[in-house]
Amino acid sequence: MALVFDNRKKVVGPGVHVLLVGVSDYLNLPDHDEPPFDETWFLNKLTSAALSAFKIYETIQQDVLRSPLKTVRLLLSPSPVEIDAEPALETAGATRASRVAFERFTRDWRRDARGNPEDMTIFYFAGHGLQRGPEEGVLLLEDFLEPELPPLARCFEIGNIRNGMAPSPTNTDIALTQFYFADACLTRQETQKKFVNPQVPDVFAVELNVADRREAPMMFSTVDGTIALGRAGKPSHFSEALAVALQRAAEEPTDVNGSAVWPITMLTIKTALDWYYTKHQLGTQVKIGGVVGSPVIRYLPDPPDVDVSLQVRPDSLGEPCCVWVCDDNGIATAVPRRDDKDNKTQFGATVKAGIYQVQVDSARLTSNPYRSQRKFITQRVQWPWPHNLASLLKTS
Amino acid sequence: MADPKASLTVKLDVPAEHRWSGTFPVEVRNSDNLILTATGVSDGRLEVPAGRYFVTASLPNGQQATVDDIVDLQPGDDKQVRLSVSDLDFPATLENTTTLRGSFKEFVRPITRYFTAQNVAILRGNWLAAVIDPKTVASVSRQPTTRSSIEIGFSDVNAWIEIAASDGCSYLAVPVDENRSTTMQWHLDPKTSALELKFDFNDGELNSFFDFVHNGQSFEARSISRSIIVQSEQYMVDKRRSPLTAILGAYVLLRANELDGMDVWTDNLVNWFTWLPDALAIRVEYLARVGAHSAALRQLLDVPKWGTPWIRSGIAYLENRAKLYVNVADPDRTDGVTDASRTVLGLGPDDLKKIRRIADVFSELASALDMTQTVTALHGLWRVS
Repeated sequence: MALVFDNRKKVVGPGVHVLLVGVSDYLNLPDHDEPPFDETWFLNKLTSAALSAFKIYETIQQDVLRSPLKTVRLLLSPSPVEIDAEPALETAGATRASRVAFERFTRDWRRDARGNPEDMTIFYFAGHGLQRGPEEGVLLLEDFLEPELPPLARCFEIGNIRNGMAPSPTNTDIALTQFYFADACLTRQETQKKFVNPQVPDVFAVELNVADRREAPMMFSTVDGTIALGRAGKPSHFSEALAVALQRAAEEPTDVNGSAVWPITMLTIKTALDWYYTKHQLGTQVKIGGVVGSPVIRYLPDPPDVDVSLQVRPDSLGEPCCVWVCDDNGIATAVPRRDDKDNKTQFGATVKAGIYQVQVDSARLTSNPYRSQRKFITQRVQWPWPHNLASLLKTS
Repeated sequence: MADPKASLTVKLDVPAEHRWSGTFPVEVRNSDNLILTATGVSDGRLEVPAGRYFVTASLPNGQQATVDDIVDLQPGDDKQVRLSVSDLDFPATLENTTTLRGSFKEFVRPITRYFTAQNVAILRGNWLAAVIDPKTVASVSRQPTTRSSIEIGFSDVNAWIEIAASDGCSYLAVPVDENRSTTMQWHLDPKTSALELKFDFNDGELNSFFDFVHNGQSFEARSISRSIIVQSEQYMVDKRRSPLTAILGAYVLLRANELDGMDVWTDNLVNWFTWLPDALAIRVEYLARVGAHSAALRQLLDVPKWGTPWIRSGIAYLENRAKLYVNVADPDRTDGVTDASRTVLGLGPDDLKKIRRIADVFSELASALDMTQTVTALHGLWRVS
């Protein structure tokens, strides 16, 4: 089945065309728990890539995008572990992610995207692959290493897809807002060496662009494959973080038709994903390439939730010591101490983005309560927000 | 009748003798609905409607400087507000030594480092020309060193750090601004290949802008870049000119695809700063972006003369465009779409051979790029001979 969602006839104005690809069950690679071999490029089958793409599919159906969905195409090659965890993978109407199917789906996706420059496209890939510089990546489909064929015959280059989606004499009215997500970064050196001057067959015929006024950011997860996509039966960190980012990764309100709304863009998604990666100690950050611009993927009607982290020193403030964040209307939200017996200076809570002051109540303060300067609190703030009250303590 | 507008000037008491100086991006937002009413830079006068505002300035490491209270502006007011920076961290300069000799004792490695598996050298000259065309007589010199930090002056422009190990060489660009010097420290972990790089351009304003870019502060970097293009005379012509600042600004705006005003700017860059490899990369990408492919290709064929870009994005742009033009020019492709594009390029056989070689070399460079760095750092390469 080609389209798992088709609303082309109902949506008259701008809409969104989505192509999701998740490859776990690589037909010519050893199982995920077998040792890697040189002959198979030190790669194994995966256990979360198809589920990751499916997670994004579920998320975008919740009316989270700036414009209504027009089409969704879904290419999934799930592993048995993932099907056990999510039986809907088999019943969602997806097609297996072979190179032949990918070519057909991608060309159909582009054909649909040629209808209206105000349309938006989303491309998401989860599976094996390698980022090669900020603009390029080689991504592997389920029939990678098919016998008798050149090694990369069943792959594609994201640069070819991005160039093929550029405005050109044959793409005059193509969607000018395009998001690309590649949840596929291999960082192991032994694999990287296989990708020097790769000979990858094109999906799109090569054509020179006319003036390219696209906003077409491309985001790469940069976590090593085993960490990113080796989560048996669970979506990848990248897809989990992206799904959350689509709910709350806004930083700056803007006026749309007289109302303040909060846009989510690729830059704000990056902030959210980097924060997630730091929180889960993944040891890296996501990378953005392409023509980034400031395209809005979603508007939130209200200020988003922000996880606030405060550091209030010294320890000797003692108990009781109450910490609050207060907005400009005087409404205070309690910020409880984190449950860490070795570090009693950390406090955390979730509040709505806005302007806040920190208030600390402690009998040990010479002037109680302490009130900090104001701060515009969004996900961009560097956490923790430090407050050292040592000089404000009563002398005992 | 009072003027319904009001003016606001934001001041920051930035400590002297630190890494950052100059102006910093300022945001003025309506305190009720939080919407940005004005953005600008510190010390600049902002005109806003009368109202109540929350005023902040951003530092390159993401810290936020604020005023203590909401600023209440009545019609006709011309207020100056001072933002507190007392609680914020301002990093020191990397090193303020000015001569190689004077810095030697501090920079020299412990004696044990002589026995590591890494051999470090300072490479001077345009090594790219010889890589693209081995028949070229390369004027590249190699000076072994035990340092892990160095200061390179403008007279030494086009210096690279070469770190040779058993599994290949790393090459680190040392961007230097016109008539200035750059202090650079590096550490390449031999086990993990993790690279730590620090730069000080001995110019607080350039340091600050570089840090905004490197730390991913995209909103602020774009804001500064727009002000650079408005004041391009200052950055490209007058006595305080800073081609490296102009180059960084151009990369930021290319990434943002904000191309207005960039034609003259990128043309000037490539005409005036022939010692700066990134000027060519930026011009090629700009021309290709606006669809002037024949002109972009002509410039791209000149890349061996210019050398390897100092900024990571430059390598990626050149790789992408070289590969595109090779594919378009490939006579084996017979689809109608590519045929039409091929006519636009009009490549002869010699140039086709040359662009193929450029594409191959830049493909290798792109795959060797360290994606954690803003400045070009290449790992696992062959040794430049």
